[in-house]
Amino acid sequence: MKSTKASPSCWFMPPVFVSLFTLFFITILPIFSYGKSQPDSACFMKLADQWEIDKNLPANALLVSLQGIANKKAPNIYFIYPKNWPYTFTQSILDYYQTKRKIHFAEIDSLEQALDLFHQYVKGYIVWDKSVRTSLVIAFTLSGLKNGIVVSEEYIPLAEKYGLKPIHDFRGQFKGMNDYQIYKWAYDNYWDQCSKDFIVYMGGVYGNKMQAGIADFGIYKHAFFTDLSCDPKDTVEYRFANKLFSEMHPMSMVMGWHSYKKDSEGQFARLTSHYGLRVEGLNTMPNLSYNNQIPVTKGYKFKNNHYIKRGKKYKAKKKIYAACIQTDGLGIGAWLKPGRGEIPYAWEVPLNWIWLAPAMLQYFYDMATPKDYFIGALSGPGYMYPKAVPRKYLPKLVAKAYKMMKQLDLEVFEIMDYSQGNRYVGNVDLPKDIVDIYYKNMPDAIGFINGYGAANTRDIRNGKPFLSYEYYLSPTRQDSSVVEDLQELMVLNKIRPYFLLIHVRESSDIKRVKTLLDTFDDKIELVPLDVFLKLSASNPTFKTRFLDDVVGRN
Amino acid sequence: MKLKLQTACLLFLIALGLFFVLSCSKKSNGIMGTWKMIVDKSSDIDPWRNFKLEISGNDSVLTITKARSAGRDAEQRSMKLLLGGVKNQIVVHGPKWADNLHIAVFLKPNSTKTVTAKWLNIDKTLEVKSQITLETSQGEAPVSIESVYKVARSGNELVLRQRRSSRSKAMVYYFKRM
Repeated sequence: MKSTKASPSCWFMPPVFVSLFTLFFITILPIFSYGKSQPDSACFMKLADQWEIDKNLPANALLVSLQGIANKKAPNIYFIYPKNWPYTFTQSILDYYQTKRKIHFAEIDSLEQALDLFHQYVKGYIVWDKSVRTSLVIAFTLSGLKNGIVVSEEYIPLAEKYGLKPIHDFRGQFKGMNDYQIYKWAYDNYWDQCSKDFIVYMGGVYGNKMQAGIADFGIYKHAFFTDLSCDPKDTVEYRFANKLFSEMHPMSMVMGWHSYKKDSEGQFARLTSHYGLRVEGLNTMPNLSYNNQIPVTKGYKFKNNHYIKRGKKYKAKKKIYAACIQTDGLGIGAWLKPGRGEIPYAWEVPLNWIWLAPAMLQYFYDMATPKDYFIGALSGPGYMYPKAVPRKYLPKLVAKAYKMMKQLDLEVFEIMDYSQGNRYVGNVDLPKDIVDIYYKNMPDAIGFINGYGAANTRDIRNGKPFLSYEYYLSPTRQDSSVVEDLQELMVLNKIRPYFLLIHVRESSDIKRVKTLLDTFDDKIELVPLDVFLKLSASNPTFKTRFLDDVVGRN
Repeated sequence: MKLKLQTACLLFLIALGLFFVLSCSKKSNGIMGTWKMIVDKSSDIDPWRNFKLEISGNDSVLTITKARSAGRDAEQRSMKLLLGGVKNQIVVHGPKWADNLHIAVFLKPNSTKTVTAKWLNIDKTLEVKSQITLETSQGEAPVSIESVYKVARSGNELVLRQRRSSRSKAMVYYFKRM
């Protein structure tokens, strides 16, 4: 691994020369060498843990805003996030950039050094109010518009040390105001200047904590930041969220995630889908302003590990076949955990990464073992609920997703719809007319998967199955109960072959899955997903079923 | 005068004692009441985190309400049962089968299940047998469920032992009176 310590202690020259040298390295060289292609060099820094207001959030928010601003001109700053960060790959991707992509990284040791190196991109500073958490969300919006770093009051002297002038001081401005009033003020003052292609939901954890991983990208794209409630019961915020979404460009992007305090994932994605918008989670997604600018290697083509051989006939025997798919896309799950490559496993590819973070996606494809199989997700080109998407947009969105699937060599597509229920209540099934849209607009897909938890929509057309999950492998279910559950499914589904499609929650590692399935010895044959689909098509012992068949709903 | 006061005090104490005894005897130590599951002691109910049971009625008619929840999500089901071998037809709503949300096994919406209930020991031990047709990916699957609700001698703990024809091991849930 090649990296340069930009820390003065590692250099035989005074700090000022270190900074000048590093500055040259990361700014002048890329301009001469690559223009808009892959850069030669950049800086990286390790972010501290503890994203609470009274701990490291002020410093981290400042750094993430600096990253968004500095990366507007070129990919300059990359962060390694703490080990417990939801996205576990920041160190691994940095290693990849260094070793495989030959990007030279210099390490920044401190906030001061980061400002030393990059303050020339910054036009001023914006003071957020530590007693009003939402003021930081607003400060991020203004940061993108004015290229100002966000600072809490203790960092004002530091900002001024670099000659930065105040752009806005939010201290005291929002005292006594609720979130609606604060966001309304921001809307009145900034909305017109903000992108209508990206909006950022700075949700996730709440209280005195904020995990603002996506903020750099929002700043980089001049996005409006919010965490307005999508729960219809919060009438005022809900109506305002509707207004914002209705003013976005059709099929545009909602980056980030909903607030765990205000609403549910289902309510959030249902509302965004209602406007034909596409969600790209999470609020913790790191380094997107950097990764967005690193292309795939020249001439690179995404290549999946297809197991099925064209022209070969697949015939299911009278036995139980299983296939496993990990939940929640790439990056937050078991990819870097023990066991990958030991059993056939399918991984959900967030399709938008092909343009949002192409090299990051190449990292996964390059790392894939022969037992890793990629599928397209989730419901469209971005997370959406087809039952909630206006019909004028749905075919276009599905076609857009299909185009990305083709580029990514993906042949299986996964759909999830929580607009009328979730894993606990309601239904997660699809009516026939929506299934028709997927078949029609993804003509070469070899199969479709529906659900997150177990679901009950199934079909088969021209040898292409549309299946639902038979089992949701919960991370909190006891292993003995999982074994009992699977046995119960085998008892209740007596016909053989039986096709047991398992959705494994990302927080379970593959070792656990393997151990659980090994319990059944030869009773279950675990096969790659594409083979599984072909086998199920050869003898579809499952019943065709759509949501329309259901009279009553919870 | 002093004697009268002493007699009055004595009578008051006797009355208070009687009131206390009567109050205690009125508080059920039988099956009727509201019960909260002891998660650590019971069989796995994942993904649910809480399970509340409410049993009301008399010797011949009972209403059993099961309420389960996890975070923002909750479901509640009630069934009114005539006891003594009567085959009660209970409408199920579906499609989610709250007894096990992880498996692709669903209730057919607006179908019925047949339930019989009888006392094995009046107000102490109740046996409930259900015949239900579930929906799986391969079609319909009949399942019988036998549940025995038994109150501990103290009256403060209830044990629900449940056996399903589709599952080899019985599930045991422990509840404490609320």
